[in-house]
Amino acid sequence: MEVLRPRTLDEALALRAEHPEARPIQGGTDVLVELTFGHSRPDALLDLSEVAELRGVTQEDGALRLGAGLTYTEAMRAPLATRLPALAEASRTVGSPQIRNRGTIGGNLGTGSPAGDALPPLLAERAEVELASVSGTRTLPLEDFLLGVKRTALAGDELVTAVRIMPSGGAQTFAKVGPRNAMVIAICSLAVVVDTTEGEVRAAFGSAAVTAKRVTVPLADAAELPDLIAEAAAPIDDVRATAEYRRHALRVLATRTLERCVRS
Amino acid sequence: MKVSLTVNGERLEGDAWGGESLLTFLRDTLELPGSKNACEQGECGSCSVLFDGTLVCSCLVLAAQADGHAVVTVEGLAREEALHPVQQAFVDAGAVQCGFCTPGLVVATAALLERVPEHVLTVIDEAYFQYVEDPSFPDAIEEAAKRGRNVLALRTFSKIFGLAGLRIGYGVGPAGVVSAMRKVQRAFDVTTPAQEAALASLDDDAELERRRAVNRDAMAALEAVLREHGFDPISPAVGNFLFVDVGEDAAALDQRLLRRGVIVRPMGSFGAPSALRITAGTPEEIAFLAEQLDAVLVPEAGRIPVS
Repeated sequence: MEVLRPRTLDEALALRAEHPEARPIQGGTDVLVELTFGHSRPDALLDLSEVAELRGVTQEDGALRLGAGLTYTEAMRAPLATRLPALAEASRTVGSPQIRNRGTIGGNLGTGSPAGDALPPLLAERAEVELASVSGTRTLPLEDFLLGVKRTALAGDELVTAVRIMPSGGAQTFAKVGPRNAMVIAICSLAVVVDTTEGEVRAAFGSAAVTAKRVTVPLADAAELPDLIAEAAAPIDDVRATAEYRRHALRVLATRTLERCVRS
Repeated sequence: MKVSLTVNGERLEGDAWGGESLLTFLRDTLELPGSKNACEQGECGSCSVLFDGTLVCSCLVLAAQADGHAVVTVEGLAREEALHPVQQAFVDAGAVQCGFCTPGLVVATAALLERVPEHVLTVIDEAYFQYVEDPSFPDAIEEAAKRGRNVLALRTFSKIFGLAGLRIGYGVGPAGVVSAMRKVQRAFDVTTPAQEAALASLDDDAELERRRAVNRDAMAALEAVLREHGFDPISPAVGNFLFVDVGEDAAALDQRLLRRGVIVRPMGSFGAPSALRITAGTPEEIAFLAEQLDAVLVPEAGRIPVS
């Protein structure tokens, strides 16, 4: 197995075009488990951890651009955490300090798991995904990027380079259900943003459909949110929980998170 | 592929296969078996190392990603013959369960403590220290201040010594901190009689032992009274008061007791609105508390106070 180690984004995109079969790897918290347990054995790995352009956060006209290499630890820190509090809260629930130091937002998008903890807060803030290839850059609304269980709109020659967000400034929070607080994959999760500028409440849930999904209601109808989320969810029975439990728990989380946001 | 990196300050090189983790590379190729291989999926932390100073699970880092970087493993924490303070503390405290994950715990703890910057002074308030009878109870003067840690240990004469009215206590800490405090000491100086009384108290071991014995009996009596009234105070406690959860309405119960001449402390300001702190008093005071609790609590409902 070859490991390609580009130092610049141009190099990375060129290698991606030449080796579409190479598995991109950033922090490695998903990919190493796959490799070690033999779930996948790609011919090559495209290591993005030395590409400086993928790191850091920049701001333009109030919009934030989070580099795909942004770690959960970085997302938990001010000042970013004060602009995107629900993302910071979600990041705090990811794994352990060791995992949060390595795992990245870009990796969460690339893996595209319906349980990805960063996805509900990003959806609730209407994030766009920036995708680059040797032939150019495009942006997609996150909901159009997520296609199914670990299936995304990423083309064979593309890399996730960033996430773009115009922070709403609205009260927001994130909640997650699991067997315990630390080190768990979400049984279900929910991010809520009360956007008074747009006059609406946006919520996004994880682990309760083939992808994380967003539900939007006018501010005046916020009380209907728990029911609307439960209707929008299409959960399954699996080793972690039953579909019925997930739908129930989402309703509870919706009521709870909404109350938290409205009170604050 | 060749991987060349710095491990515990030493430049090392070895061959890794493409999908190999840093963990197996460290253990099998570089022959550093201190990082343990347990879950291999980032769950257990037994393989924790510092990667460019950041705590990571080495099982989740590609060996190839470590090329050109610096890694510190558990083998690199000690300085020659001297164990790292965290290792020594684990040895002193016998801080192992089965022991397999201990290397990871040591590395993770060392990394955590690194995040308390050296210039930050840790203040440890040991106001109730002389009530403690367990010889293994941590002693901040012996275990931190005397070992040169950036810790200020505070003691008072207001508690077991009974000199609260004289407003006197002492602290033990680094010389630099104490000399900085001396510069502003004048405004807070204590009187000569207070100093004399404090010094005399320090020498009276027999009286201190008598007071400890009195407190021991009073704490047992107070706990018994609280349990008789259906409460479950947090015990064993090592000071001269008990913390007890009384239900949702500790402030209301406090007011009812106060009207009957019993002073306790509601713990709302400590974030425990349903709890009281009750000091162990004299046998008469404890008997009085028992009587007043009988009066303010509905017997059959147990903990529900009546107005």
